[in-house]
Amino acid sequence: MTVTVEAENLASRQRRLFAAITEDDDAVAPAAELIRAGGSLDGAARLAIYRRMYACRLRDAIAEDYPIACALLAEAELAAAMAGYSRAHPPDSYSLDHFTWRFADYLATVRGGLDVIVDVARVEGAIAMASIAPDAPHLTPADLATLDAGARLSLAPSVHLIAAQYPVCALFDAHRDGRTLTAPAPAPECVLVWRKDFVVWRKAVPRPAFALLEALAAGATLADALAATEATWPGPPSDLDGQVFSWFESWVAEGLFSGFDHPAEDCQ
Amino acid sequence: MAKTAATANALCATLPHLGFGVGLRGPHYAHILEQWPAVDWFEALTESYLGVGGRRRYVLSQVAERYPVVLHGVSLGIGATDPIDRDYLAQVKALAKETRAAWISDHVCWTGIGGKTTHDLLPIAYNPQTLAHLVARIAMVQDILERPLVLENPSTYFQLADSTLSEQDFLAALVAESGCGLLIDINNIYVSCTNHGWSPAAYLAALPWDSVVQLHLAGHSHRETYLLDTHDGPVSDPVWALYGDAVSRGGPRSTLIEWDARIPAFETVHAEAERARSLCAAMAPGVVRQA
Repeated sequence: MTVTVEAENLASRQRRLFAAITEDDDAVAPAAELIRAGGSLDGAARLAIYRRMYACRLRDAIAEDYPIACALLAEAELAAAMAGYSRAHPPDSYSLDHFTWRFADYLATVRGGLDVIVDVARVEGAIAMASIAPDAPHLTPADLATLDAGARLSLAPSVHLIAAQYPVCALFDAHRDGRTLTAPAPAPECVLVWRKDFVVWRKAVPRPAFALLEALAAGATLADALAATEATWPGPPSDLDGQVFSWFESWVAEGLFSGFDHPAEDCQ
Repeated sequence: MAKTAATANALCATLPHLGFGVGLRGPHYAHILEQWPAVDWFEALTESYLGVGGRRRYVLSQVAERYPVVLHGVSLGIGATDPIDRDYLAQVKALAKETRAAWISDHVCWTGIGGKTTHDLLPIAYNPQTLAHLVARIAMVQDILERPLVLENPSTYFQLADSTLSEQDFLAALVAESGCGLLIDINNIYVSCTNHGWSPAAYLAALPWDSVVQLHLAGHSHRETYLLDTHDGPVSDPVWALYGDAVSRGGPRSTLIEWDARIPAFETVHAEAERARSLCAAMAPGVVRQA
């Protein structure tokens, strides 16, 4: 694509204005020169209106999607996290919905590994994404009956698996019920988030069930996923078959799977 | 005027008068699905429905089955310098087809650069160079969408020093050279005129009314030294007066109430649309269909 001289000049001016609105105070003066003088506000004050709206828009988006993580962060920490995230991951999509989706990863980088707020944010991010994930067809019980060991199942786009280091579901329940949020002691919890019809659900699932879903999500065949599950199964191996059948029955009813195929079919 | 611009202009003139509508917003979903209120039409915020599933998309599909729908976007960035996002436009086009959208609108603005966005409607310079830039980009967009694009005047808080045209003259030239339609936001005129010391009457007088497809009405907020376009309250009296002036100049146009923050009950927003209907009916009896 040919870029005209006019467009280059326009781009240069827009870069100055964009920096003044989205970056540090130092960027304001060079952009203020582009603004017509007059009225009760100078160029910097007029740019400040856009700067405030930009910062407010991004803060509101994070607060809306991460209410519990925000409530758990001290005021100064929250302000720093919101500003830091906005600088590290400025909006780059046509939809503001997408802006917040890397917030948990950002918190993980600035707060370190074992952190309940990071775990909470991972689940809140999953809930935000699940609520608007694309619709998909659901595997039916009749489909389930046709599966063999070589089948590979596709998880629905709304399904998210979070291996938390803290029992975060209790915090979500407390927030929902308006109770005081108290950070729990570390204890691994496997959290499943998904949308059925128009409602997003969240629940803690047993480690073997989580391992099975994780393996399927990674593209394993049913046989390989079941082998991964056996490694985490704490009870007698003879009990696993019945448990797996029960899980699948429930997962199919909840719409966790959008389809399946067989590796052999890929070669045909 | 190029042949394509003339064609687009002619197509704009055929767009229907939809009556008096309300913006489709999440807090009203349940009410709409339960009551199917007697509103003429809905305007959906385009980006809220692109690539998404779940309740949002379901509600839009249900609404589109029962009411005329218009898609109103904020992310096209027709005044930006990044390449036109063809994937985004392909999604918009598909959504418009799915919802049988009467038209597709966005804003005369830029939103970001280098793949980053402010999610704001940033002012452009009103001069011949920017005009040529926009005309070329509108032609590309209209080719992709295979329909005229309708563009809205934004609320602004600064003017660029290299502007040589008034906003209204720029819009008139844009229509003549690109064939796009106009969505004239009466509240935005009031806000921008107040913030920049422009004359609302001169603004309305210069608009090419034959190409005005739609009008917006919304509330704004008073700050110490300027007005802010907040869409968080009822339409103010001066904006109603300006709307009356607009209708007296251009005749009734499809009119929509925008209310995006501190959103009240649906009936409150709908009542504003009915107020617009009453005002138009008083000014142009026989032209405006009664609710």
